[in-house]
Amino acid sequence: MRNLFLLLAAIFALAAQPAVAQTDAGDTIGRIKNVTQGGIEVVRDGGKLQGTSGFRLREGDIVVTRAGQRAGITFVDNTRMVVAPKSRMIISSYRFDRKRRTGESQMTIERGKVGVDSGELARSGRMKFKTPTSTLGVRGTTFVIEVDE
Amino acid sequence: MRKSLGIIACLSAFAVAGCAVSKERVTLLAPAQSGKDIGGVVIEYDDGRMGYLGDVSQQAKLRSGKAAHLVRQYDEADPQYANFGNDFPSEPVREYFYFAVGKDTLAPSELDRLQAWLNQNIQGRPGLEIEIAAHTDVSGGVELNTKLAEKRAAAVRAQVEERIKAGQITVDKDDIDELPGSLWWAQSIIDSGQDYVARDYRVAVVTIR
Repeated sequence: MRNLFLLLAAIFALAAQPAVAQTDAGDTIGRIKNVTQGGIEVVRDGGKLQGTSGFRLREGDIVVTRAGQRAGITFVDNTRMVVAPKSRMIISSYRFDRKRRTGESQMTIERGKVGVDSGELARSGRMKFKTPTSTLGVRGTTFVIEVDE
Repeated sequence: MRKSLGIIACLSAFAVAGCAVSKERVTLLAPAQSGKDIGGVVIEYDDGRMGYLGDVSQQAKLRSGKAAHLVRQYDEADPQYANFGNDFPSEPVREYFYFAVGKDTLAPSELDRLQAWLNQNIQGRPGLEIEIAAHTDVSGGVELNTKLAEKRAAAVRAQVEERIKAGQITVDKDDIDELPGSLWWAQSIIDSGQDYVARDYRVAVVTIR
C-alpha cells in the first residue's frame, strides 16, 4: 500500500505543472561562480560566449566545459551546481517566482558529470533533470548525474 | 567488397560494445531532506518504471540494459565524488534585519549590523551577488504594504550603496539586487500558524550568494 502511495506521489510530482507566474525570458537566473581560468563556453541564441566568474546565465543557455574546465553555478533559488570537465548541460527551462520562492526548472545533461545541491525549487517537486534515457525529479538533496558519451 | 563489409561489421561490433559499457547514472551525496519521504531523487526510466533514491551513497543506473533499475547502496562515499563537495560554490547565506513600525529605512544600529554581516560574508565568493528582499507585517492592507515593501527594498539598497560609496563595504553596486516582498509571505506565515511571526515581519531579508 505504501509503495502504491509512493508511486502515485512520484508520478504526481513528475507530472505537476506550475501554478504561478515565474521569471521572464532574459532574466538572470543564476551566475557562474568559481570557474577554471579562462572560463567556460556558454551557448546563447546560437552564439558562443565566454562564461567567466560572475557571468549571468539565462533560461535557454547551454553550459559547455572542455577537458580541464570546470564551473560552479548558483541559481537564484540557491541551487548550486558543479559542471565537471567534458560536460554539456542545457538549461531548457527555469522559472522562479522570487517573491513566493517557487517555480519549476528542467535541465538536460547531454554528456559529462554534473553535481547538484538543490535549493528552494526542489521544495515544489518541479525541479527536473533529463538525461538521454531518464527523467529525474528532485525532492531536495545533493547528487551527481553522470552521462557518458 | 567482402573485406569492406567485414571491416564495417567489426566497427559496428565495437560501437555496440562501447554503448553497452557506457554509463548513465545518478548518485546521492547526501540523504533526502527531512520530510521528503518519496525520495531525494525520483527516477522515471525510459520504459516507464519508477525508482527512488533517498539515502546517501545510493546509486542508480539509468540507461536501459541488464542491470538497469538496480539501486545500489554503498557503505561509504565513492572517493571519485569527493571533489564535488569542494567544487560547489560557497553556500548562500541569509540574514534578517528589522524595520521599526511604519519605517522604510533601517535604523543606524540595524544598518551597522547589516554592514558588519556583509563585510564578514562577502569574502571568497567569486561572482558575488547580494539580494535584498523587504517585507511588511500584515496590518494595513495589501496596497499599502505592497508600496511599503517596494520603498523599503529601494531604501535599504540606497543605504547599502551609501556605505559602499563611503568605502565601508567593498561590493560592486551592480551586484546588488533589490526585491520587494509581498504580503504573501506574512499571510503564508499566518496560514502556517505562526501569526506571532507575521505580526513582526517588518524585515529586510538579505541573501549573499
